[in-house]
Amino acid sequence: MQSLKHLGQKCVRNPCHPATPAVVFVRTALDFFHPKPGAEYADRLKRKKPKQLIRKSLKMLPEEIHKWSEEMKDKFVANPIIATFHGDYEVLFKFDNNQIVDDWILTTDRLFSEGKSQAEFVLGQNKTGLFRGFVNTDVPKDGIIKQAGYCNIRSPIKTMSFGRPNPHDLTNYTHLLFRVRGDGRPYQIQLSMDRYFDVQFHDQYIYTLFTRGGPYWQLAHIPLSKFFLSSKGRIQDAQERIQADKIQNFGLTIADGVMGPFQLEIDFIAAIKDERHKEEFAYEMYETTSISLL
Amino acid sequence: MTTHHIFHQLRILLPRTIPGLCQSSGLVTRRCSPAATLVSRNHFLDARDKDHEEKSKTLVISHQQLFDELAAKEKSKRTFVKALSIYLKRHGVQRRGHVEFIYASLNQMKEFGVEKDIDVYKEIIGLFPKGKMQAMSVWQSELMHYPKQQQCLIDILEKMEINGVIPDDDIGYEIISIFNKNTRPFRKYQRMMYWMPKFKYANPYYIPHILPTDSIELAKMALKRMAVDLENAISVFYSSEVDGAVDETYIVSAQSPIQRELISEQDVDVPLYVEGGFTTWLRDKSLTYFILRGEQTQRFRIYEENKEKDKEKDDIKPFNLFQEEDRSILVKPSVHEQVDGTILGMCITGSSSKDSLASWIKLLQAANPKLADIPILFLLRSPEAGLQVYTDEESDMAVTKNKD
Repeated sequence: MQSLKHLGQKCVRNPCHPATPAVVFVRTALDFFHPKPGAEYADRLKRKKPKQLIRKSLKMLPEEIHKWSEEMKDKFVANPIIATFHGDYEVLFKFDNNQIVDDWILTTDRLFSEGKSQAEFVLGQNKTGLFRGFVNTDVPKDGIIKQAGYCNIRSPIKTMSFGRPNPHDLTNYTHLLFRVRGDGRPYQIQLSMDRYFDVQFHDQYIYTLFTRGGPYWQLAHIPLSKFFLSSKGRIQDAQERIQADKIQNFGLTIADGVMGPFQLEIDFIAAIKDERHKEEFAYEMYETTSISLL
Repeated sequence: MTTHHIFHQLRILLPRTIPGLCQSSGLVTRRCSPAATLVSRNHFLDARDKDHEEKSKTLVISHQQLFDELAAKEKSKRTFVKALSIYLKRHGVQRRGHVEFIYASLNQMKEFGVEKDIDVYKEIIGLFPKGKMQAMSVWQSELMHYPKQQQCLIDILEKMEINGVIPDDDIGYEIISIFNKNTRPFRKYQRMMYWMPKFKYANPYYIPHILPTDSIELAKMALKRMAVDLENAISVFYSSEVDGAVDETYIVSAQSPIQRELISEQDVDVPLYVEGGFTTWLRDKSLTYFILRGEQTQRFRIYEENKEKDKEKDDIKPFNLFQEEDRSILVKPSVHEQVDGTILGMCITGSSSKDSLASWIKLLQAANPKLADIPILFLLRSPEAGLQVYTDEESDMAVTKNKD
């Protein structure tokens, strides 16, 4: 499977052998401190020897120094965006070449032995990204998992030279634009956040991308104010507006609990400024008495 | 990272809980692993029998026999509720094994077709004994008083959430009378009551929660949802209206006046394509639809080329009426004209067969007389099996097309 290769290169979570029982989640909640995102799966990763690590890093050095020097040049020459006006937009991802489609990371529950869904993300005939596959809601009979059936694509984490995180900054824009052609099923947009503390590593701002279905393209305007906070797939009680300058990556998931094939054609993802949109956060922000006692 | 960011993140962090305390699945919406609700685990202070999980599973299975007996007679809401009343008749006083019985009933809901019925959920919640398991202090509320029973009620609410059933006030009062306020099941209920109504009508392409069972109504609903053109008209035909049709089926067709106009502008030498079957979804129902497609139009091509030129233009210069170019008054192509062709009609037929599609084209000829002269090619594939090639007997043209 093509996606497995990408995952092995870019994802910290290691896909295990299909035959082994899926127990990847079991002890996560007992650990108090994670040194870096994904570290809770550390026992699944093979540690490399220091010699290998040094050799690998030395190989990376010239390329990274080149990147860094380019960044320094940009810093003095570049013309940064100071303000945007009504209707200004920025195309974040345009799925018109193989490179970008390959860069996006595809995960399904099958990869983590948590289900049987299959998917692929390829370049279609019209030079658009084609996310298609089969959502299988059959629960694996290991006695642990209660629900199954998801497929996800996400952008790679945006980095600068030396692998330093460089989150997307959308503070100048109010809406996200998606030009898609779906099959009538709802997809979930996930904006993973670049956060500092370990309990926040799984913070995602999410909203649903409803598709119309049929042969016509649709342009979905989704205000950033509508995105709500979730962590590991659960809506959080303490909500806050998205910090638009701290978006680590973009993702799209299908997990509507319906068994069957799906197909989403995606042309581009963009951010746009709409000055008429004054809403800060779509959900109530007044203080209430906490419903938990802790 | 600036101090501002650190303070900001601390502020988000503080009101929340420590991850180590998220063990019990009652804290469902806290920052805890999905495993907290997905995984049944042994607590390290668990003093129960080691095989208690196995035993409760066998109990669940033995309770399922009651449902199996009734399912053999009739699978309906009536028999499902009857099963619950049989349990109450037998164990109404002690409510012995009610948790296992409830899990057994939850497993059977889909088979009886009641998983979207709020009344049935109310009946199930009514099986819990009232008063006995009330959490009477802060400590009891926080430390899952009667944990197995509380988890069971959370699982019922979770099942409601998955099936899109929004609880009502009665369920809230019921939970208070079983476990009291501030307990985990009631918090779950509060969260559901906050979030679920917010997203009830979030879908701009609305689908009712309970879909019609009639396949013609479903087809109409799907076509209405897919059609972008507001003037689009949906008509229902039967293949018996066409001479020589083999299939006895219905044909639901969608076409707008603009599409008819586009067909009338069509060149007689250039063929049109009937393509499909593509899949469209209405919640958990999938329908196969077909389209009548023409090649990309001249008007669309010219418009796109000029749009590209406009992009290259430097827009910093002030707007000048006399420098305006001819292309700014170009006619915008209709919504039906897209990059990969022009959509001239959509249909859903009962059998999705080639014969029914040939009937559809014949029926369209009444409103589009020019269709009789235009050659039409059938590029049909089943959604699963990839492209299949059919030969049109009348025009005797075989069409092959490479997929990807």
